[in-house]
Amino acid sequence: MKRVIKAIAWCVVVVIILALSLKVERLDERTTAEFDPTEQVEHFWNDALPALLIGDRVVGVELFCQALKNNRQLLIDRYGLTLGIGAPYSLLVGGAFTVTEVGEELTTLRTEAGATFLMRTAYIFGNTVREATGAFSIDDYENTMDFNRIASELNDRVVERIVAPAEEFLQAGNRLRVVGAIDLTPKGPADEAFELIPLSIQPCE
Amino acid sequence: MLRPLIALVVMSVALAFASESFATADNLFNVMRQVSVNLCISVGMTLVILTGGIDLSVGSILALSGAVAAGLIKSGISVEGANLHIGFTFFGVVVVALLIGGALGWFNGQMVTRFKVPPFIATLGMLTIARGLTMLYTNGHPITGLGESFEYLGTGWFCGVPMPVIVAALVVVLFALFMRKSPWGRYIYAIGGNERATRLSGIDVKRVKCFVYTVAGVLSAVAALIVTARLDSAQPNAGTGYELDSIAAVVIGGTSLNGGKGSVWGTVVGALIIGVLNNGLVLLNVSPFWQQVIKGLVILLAVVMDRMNAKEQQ
Repeated sequence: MKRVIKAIAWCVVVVIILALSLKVERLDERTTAEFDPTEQVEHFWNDALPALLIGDRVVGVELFCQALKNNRQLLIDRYGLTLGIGAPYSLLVGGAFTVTEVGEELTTLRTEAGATFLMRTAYIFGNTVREATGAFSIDDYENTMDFNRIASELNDRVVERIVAPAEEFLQAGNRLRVVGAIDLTPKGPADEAFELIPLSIQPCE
Repeated sequence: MLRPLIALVVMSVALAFASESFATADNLFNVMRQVSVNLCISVGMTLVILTGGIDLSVGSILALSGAVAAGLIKSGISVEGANLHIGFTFFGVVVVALLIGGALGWFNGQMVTRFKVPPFIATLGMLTIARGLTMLYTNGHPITGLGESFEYLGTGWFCGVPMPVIVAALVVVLFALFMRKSPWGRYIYAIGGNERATRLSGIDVKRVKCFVYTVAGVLSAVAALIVTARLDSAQPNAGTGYELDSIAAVVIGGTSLNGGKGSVWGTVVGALIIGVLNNGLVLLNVSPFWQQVIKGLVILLAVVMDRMNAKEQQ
């Protein structure tokens, strides 16, 4: 009798633990989309990016250069986005530039105030674009490889859809309106030549 | 335990003078958070070493328990044949992680007691097996984004104290009481002191030893939950080298490598010494390469002192 009571008690404990531990649902009712970085990025590229590039997340290049001299941290606090808990911070910078030199991988741009930016036009790697857009959160991905595939897809699109169609404008002396992503660290020289990954290149009218 | 305690106090006072960042509330909480992981593992290691054994698999068990917990809370299990998806709650993954840790520890115990494999070899085998299983389960990729409720365990605060510190404190108090007040605690000391005499006095030595390795596995899983929650991700190479840090904490805390002598409180002091030493060396800008050398020397010094003590007592 004692053994039976003991067995029943154990069963009750196990059932309670299982009830508190598991959430069972029908597999066909579960909306699990297969991870498809191309589709996700395509969706973002068509639906969210255009609005992002004309929104208040983009810091004007003149303001950016001024803030670098006066209060770099304020710039980071207001516009900077980061994956982890520290540097580098990524942000979107936009404005009018003059092309001063065209290279195979980097095109040199100069602002009216004389600041120099290096626009990357080939071999784009890293997470700068993904972080600067602020549209992708690591919490939404199964693992960091998937998350990195998003960054890679974005970088590929920059080369194919931003740089390639704008090649005809990339000539020394041309005036361009460019919005792009850059990485910024809390410390650095005010006259730093930042590398900018373009997300929009338009000729100035 | 007095000598390590004096060493800890001297070291802390010296560091407070050497670096103004050391004796700040932020830094001390940071040290405690870092120590809490090693402390959970070290308490289990104390029990194992008290029986005269050793467990080299704690770091790999940590990695596997953490990875499975992260995988289950993130994706659950889909049973396509039965058209079912089984999701896991926070409580559920805690239970599963502890069961995995316990099962691997129990396996170690069986190897040591039933098949008479030396603890060093048995747990070395488990070190490789658990690491391999972790790589298989994760495909070598970290599992990230585990949700806020899980993250709270690693980064949250309760009554002004970080959660990892609360968990480690509970583990310490529970096992300090267990070792002092329960008959099994005395059996563990007895086995380390003289295994044959303990067996002849009617105590089931195999059972106690198996229990001790199981506890070490469970506490590795507890540490796994803290690490995984703190990083909000399960890393396939998590816990690498943790076995050495925990053995160091146990030995520095005065537990004899021959077994039979030592205490959980001594291990607390040992883990704090290791934690304060790590933190102090970083604050003093000591090169990471020198940090390893210094840590190694401290461990050697502790073992030499243990040997000299044993000789004096003989």
